[in-house]
Amino acid sequence: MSRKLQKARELARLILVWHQQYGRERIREKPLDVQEEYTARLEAFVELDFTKRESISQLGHEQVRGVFEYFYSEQIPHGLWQNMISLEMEMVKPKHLGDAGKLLLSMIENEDGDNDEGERTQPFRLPNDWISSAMPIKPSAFKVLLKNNETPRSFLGEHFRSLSQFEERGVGGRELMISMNEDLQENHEQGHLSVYNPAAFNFQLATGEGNLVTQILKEEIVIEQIVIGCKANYGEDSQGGQ
Amino acid sequence: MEIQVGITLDNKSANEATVRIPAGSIFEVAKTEYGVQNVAIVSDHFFKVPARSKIKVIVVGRCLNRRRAEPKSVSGRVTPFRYAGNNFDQESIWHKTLSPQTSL
Repeated sequence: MSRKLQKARELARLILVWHQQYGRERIREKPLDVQEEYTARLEAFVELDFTKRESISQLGHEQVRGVFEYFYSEQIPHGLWQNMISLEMEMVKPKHLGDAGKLLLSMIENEDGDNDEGERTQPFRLPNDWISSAMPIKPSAFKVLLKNNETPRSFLGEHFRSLSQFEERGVGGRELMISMNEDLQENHEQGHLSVYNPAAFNFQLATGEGNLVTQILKEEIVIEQIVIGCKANYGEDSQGGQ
Repeated sequence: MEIQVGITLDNKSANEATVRIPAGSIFEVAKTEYGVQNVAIVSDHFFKVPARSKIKVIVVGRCLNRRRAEPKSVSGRVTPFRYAGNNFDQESIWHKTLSPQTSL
C-alpha cells in the first residue's frame, strides 16, 4: 500500500469515527428524513473494509457531497486527530471535516502521481528557469518531527538554503521563508514543525518581468544597499517614483 | 503600518537604466534573528538611473509579519517573490500570511 493510500485510509477512519462519536448525536437536530438517511449511510460505512481503495473513496465522496456534508464545516477535535492519525504520517490537521474529505480524495486520485513524501525529504527548490520565467508555484506544506538537535530555525534554514544562493548580489528569500514559517509555530505541537512553501503565503515568483530582481540577477543593475525601516531623508536624491 | 525601504542602485553600464519595482515586490530583513518585519511594496515604482551612476530611492511597503517588531534601519535584501494578493490593506495581508493555504 502506498504512503498516500495509507494516509487516505487513516483520514477515512478519522472521518468515520467523528460521525460515530459526534455526528450520530448531532444529526438529531436535523429533519427526520435526513436523520434516517444519515443513520443508514453511517451503518453502511461501518461495515466497509477500509483496506480497500474503493471504500476509502466512497467515504470521501460522502463527506464532500453526500449526507455527511451536513457536517462539512465541523472542526476535528485535537484529541481525536492525535488518536486516529499516526505521527509518522506527518500530516497537518485539516481545517474541518470537509477539507479532510477533499484531502482524502486528492490522495486517492493522485496516488500514482507526485509523491508528497519527496517534498518532505527534498530541500525547497524554485522551478527550473525561474530567473527568466515566473513559473506559478502551487501552495504546499508538510509536517516534520524535529530531531533532538534540530530547532525550527535550523531545519527551515537548511530547507530553504537554495534561496540564499544570490545573497552576495542582494537577492535573498531564505530569511523571509524562515520568519514566515516561524511566525506560525506557536500554533503547533512541541517538537513538530509545519513547513509552508512561498505560495502558501500567497507569494509568487516576481522574476522574468523586467523588474528590479530580474535586472539584478541578469547583472543589469547592482544593489549597493537596502535599508528596511530607513529614515525619511534616505532618498534625498530619489527620482520620481510613482 | 507603512515601512520605508531605502535602496541604493548602481548602474555600472554606459547606458541609462530604468528600474521597475512593481507592487507586491517583497524585501526581506537580512537576518531572521533581528526579529523584525519583512515588507511587501504597495505600489509600482519606476526609477531612471543614469549611466555609471548611483541613486538612492525610497519605496513604501506594508508589513508581512504581524508578530514581529517594526524594523528601524536594518539591512535588507530584495527577494524573488511578490505578494500576489489583490488587496494591500494591512489586515488583509496579515490574514493571508497567518492563515497559509495548503494543498494538504
